[in-house]
Amino acid sequence: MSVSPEEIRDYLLDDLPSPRRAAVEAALSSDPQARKELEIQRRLVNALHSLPEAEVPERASFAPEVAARPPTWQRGVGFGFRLAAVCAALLVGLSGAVWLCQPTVQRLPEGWLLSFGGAPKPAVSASPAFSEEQLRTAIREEIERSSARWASALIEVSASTAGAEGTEAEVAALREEVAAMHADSAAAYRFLNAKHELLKRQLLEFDLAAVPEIPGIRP
Amino acid sequence: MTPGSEDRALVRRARRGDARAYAVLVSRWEKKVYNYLLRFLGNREDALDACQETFLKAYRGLPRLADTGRFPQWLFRIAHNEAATLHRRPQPASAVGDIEATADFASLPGIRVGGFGYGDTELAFLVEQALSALPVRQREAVLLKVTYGFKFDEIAEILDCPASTVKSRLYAAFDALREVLEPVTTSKEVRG
Repeated sequence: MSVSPEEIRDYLLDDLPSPRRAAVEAALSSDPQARKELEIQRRLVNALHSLPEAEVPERASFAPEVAARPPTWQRGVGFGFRLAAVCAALLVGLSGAVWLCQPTVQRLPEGWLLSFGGAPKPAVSASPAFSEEQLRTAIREEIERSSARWASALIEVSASTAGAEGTEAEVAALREEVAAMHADSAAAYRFLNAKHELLKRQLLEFDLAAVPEIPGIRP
Repeated sequence: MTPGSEDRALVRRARRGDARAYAVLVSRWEKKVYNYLLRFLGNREDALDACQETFLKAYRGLPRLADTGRFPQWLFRIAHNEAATLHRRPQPASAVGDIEATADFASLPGIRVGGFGYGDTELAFLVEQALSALPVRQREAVLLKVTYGFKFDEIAEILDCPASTVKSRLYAAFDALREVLEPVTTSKEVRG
């Protein structure tokens, strides 16, 4: 045989350079042995081509969205960036809210006070609504009114008991007792007034609230 | 437009991020890749997994494909690597190859009738058996050359070995197949 079985095989498989291809074709036209070899090889190749191809199960079909999904490490990095972006947005939002609310912290005698919207505004003017002289006058008048009420009550009691069971000495003792109560009342009013003044000064000092109105005292 | 140029156009579109173009490419190649993997691995589940992985890796690796005209051999190279990785794994003792377990020869229809030769089903079965009996390296050389029509230098690129090695594997495989199949193919020819 003028050509090798390998060359015949390559010729059959269409993988022979052109010069050799021409030589093989020439040999095939003149050499019965070569033609027989070619026939055997052709049957073998045909038999290999007879292999059925299996159908691809549906599961193997391509899903672009799955393929387009980046690998796990890339998804992790992407998630990290997204998380950082969300945190940054939250931080900016929180800063804006803080800036808008203007929280302030104040130290009070009772402790620390956190308030929003800037420094707390006093409900009333920081200046007192009435003068000290007016306050003293009001207290004095109240004391006098109280004294008058006590005196009136004493007179009524004296009138009802005179000539009955009471004596002049008992009436005098009652008068002294009433006078002592009077003095105590005046002292109590003065004490209350002093306490009120102290509280008012404290409130004004911390600029938190108005001076409360004292019942019965009208400036 | 030839199939090769269609593939090149699809590859170019897929490289620009067109997933639909890539889906078309897959539909054109998945049957070939799947059957190559099935005959390499002899197991449908493994072939499916390798096939999926091949197309996923190919999609992600498309931007690195320098020459779009070499897509088929590049794709088969990925498939070959996937199959080789799976093939190296130790198989469980109970694993039975799907191809080897296809059917009992005696139960096939169209069984040899007297002296009239073999039917198509028998012939396919015998070829399958003969092919699966070959060493893996020879088997894939036969598949890539005969079934898928790659040139020797392309197969060399797929298998990452010299073309001369591919040829020697192919010739050895042909000699082995001829020994087993020559009587059968002659008989079939006589009957036909």
